Amino acid sequence: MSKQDMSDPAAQRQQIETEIPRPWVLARLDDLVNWARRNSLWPMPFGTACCAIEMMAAAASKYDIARYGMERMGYTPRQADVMIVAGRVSYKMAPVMRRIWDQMPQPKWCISMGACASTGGVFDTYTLAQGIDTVVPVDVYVPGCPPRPEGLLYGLLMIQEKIKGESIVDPRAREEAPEAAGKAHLAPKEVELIAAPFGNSTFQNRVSGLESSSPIVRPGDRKD
Amino acid sequence: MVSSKNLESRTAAVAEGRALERHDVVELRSRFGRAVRRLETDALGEPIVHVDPEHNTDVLGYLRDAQGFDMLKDVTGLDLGGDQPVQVVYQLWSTSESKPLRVKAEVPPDRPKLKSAFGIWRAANWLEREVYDMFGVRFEGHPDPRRILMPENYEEGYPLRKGFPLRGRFTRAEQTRRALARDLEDIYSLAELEVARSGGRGQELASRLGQVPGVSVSVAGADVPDLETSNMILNIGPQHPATHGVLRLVVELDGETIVKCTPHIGYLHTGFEKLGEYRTWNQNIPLTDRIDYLAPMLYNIGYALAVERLLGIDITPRCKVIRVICSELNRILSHLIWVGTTAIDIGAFTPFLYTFQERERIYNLHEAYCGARMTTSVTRIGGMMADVPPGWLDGVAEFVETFPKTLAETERLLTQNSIWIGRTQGVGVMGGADAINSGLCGPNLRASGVAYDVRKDNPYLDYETYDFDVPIGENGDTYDRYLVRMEEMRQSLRILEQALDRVPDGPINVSDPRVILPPKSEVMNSIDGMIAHFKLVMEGLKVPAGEVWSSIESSKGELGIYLVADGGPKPVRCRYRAPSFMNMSNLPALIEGSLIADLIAVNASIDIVLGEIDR
Ligand code: SF4
Repeated sequence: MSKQDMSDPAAQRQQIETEIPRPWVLARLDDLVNWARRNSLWPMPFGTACCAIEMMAAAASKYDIARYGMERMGYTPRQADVMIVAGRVSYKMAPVMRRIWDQMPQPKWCISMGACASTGGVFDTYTLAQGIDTVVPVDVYVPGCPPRPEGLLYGLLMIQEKIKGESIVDPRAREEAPEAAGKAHLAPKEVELIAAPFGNSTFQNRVSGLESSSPIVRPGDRKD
Repeated sequence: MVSSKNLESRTAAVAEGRALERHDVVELRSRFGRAVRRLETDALGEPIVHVDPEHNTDVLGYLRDAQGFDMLKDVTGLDLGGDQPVQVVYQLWSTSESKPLRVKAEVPPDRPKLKSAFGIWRAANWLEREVYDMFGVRFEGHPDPRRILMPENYEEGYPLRKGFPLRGRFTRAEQTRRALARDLEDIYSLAELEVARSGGRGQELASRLGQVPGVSVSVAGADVPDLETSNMILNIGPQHPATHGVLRLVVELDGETIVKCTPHIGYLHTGFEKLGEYRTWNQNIPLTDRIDYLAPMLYNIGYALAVERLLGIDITPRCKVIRVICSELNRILSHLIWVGTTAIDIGAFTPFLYTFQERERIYNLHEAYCGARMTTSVTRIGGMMADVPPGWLDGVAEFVETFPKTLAETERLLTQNSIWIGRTQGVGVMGGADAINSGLCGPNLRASGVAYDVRKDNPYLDYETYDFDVPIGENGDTYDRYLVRMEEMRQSLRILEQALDRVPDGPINVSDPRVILPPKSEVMNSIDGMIAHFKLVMEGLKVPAGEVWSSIESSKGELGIYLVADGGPKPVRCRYRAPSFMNMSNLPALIEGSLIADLIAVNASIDIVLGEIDR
């Protein structure tokens, strides 16, 4: 993927959509597949620190993640769809996380929960990876230190939202990439850019492939 | 006018005089002569004995055997920068006389070397490894002198040395590249690789028997008289649901029996201690609750108390009681998550739902007080972030009233449950004397029958005026550790009741403008108030030069905080002696010789939190 493409995911998506003719049948098939995929997301809880406790709270009785059909925590990466990275990831842990990501079969998504996973948080130290997106691609960032359980649930709903827009013939998103296994997600230059003070908050949108950082508005959402 | 040199030597002499008042120090000096280089006192007036690095183990051994210092609480390093020697600090405690002693040995910064105290206290095992990892001090005679928190092939240096930059020596890109380039063999010790390789003998045997190589050998022992067996290496973690975070255990198995268990930690190493040296005294508070996120307020309080002791200020009576309430609420909070997750590990899911329900109620109290559910940052040096909001104490009272019901329900699910009993009784046993020597602490130590609780033995926040019991176990097994924690929650409720009855009126913060921001009315209306405000905000609080080792009873055990100040706005050293770290180092001793299934139960029972172990 060239740098140009990465910096403008909107154009890229546009390009794919125009390139692939989507007859009515294919479009309906997409809808069906996406419906099935987004309503049975199996999380792979990759909890490391404080944020993991809030992830547990999201699974416990008050917040009850089961309401969204996502309570089946797959502790094995081979049977999971969404990796939730909750907490600080050190350089010692980074290869482990990459391996777990590599072991998950496509289609797969990744949520970065909390400030530490997203940017290194307040810990700009010698040991912490400054954002897990240097190592694995991230689909949704949930802000907070820690995010409340509602925040995590909202992040999962955003993943659902993202799935809605996907197409089964989109080669970009859902291809296995064995040659990338064990490698960093970003080129060294981009890692430097991101790890500079405040770097990650500025460059995150581009890395995640999201078009903007404003929340995705769902039909039922309150507008104020 | 006195020259500063003169002044220095005079203060040193005064300090020495004070330290010499204690008879054990006098005895030590007369016995070891020149091996005791000099004496000092810390901010609390406790003696510090500097010993000759050549004789460190002689002195330490004598202290344990002849003077009853049976507990080694901490071994850590202190680097003051430049060519100044690196100090290795031993914090000792005598359980019979309830008194501390700090021993220091100074080693040259370029080739630091000392004799290991492992032969005297087994607690020194991991502590010395950490000193090596962070300061590069080598300990001769240590049984396992490897790095502990950083990866074993870490090349950037020793992080807590003053010359080491906060962000490491390499660029972020290089750090990322190295992290991902690490291959599998780097993460096993040589001994483990050796065992794993010897497993290759099966292949050899298979070809000798004329079987197809690659097919597993399944030969009954009777047909093959010289059938060799070899141990197996099993890796658990760092991503495993039963390791309570990112712990990694490598176990060597003979069949189902654990021959050797090696915990590998550091997967969550965050650099709190290094970062602490770059933050002002008050800025460190938000970091502390991210160390033990299961009982955040306990860390807030422990840290604030340590700095207050260093400053020599006395907090207000109201603040003391509010802090006691926060402490005990958090003890319950932490024990609840322990019961819930341990029960899941052993196979019972329901207690998790019950206990999390109660945790949510404590979280609501947290939120009402400070706005955050978990990362509370509730203390300030000299007081709290604010007084409690109206009605908050009633909320606590309601919790105290209703919580026993859930506690009883949870107990009904577990205490007499035959599966629970079968999985926990007689599993992971450690006796009292062993437990003291090897640094077990908190509820685990008490389950082994040692009634050591900082709240009783070295009281803080007026704990001596509260009426509560310290529950102890008889057998030191997993079941006792469970019982002790359940009873501790009840005792916490008792303390809470008493505290709620006595919350005094009055200010929550000390009225010392050097420490606490003056009220806004003063800042706006008087020049003094404005100056005080400006100075505190711009320069930060100044703490006089000195050091202190202060400890509180956290939910996991004794939380020691060792602070060194040089008069500036930031600590020179900010050491957290984490109770889980000490408990975790005892896992091999608790588990070796038992079955693999017990590993999960025992590991759960010692109540670890990786944030605190790895810091
Ligand atoms: S974002 Fe905050 S709560 Fe989450 S892991 Fe980091 S420090 Fe802990």
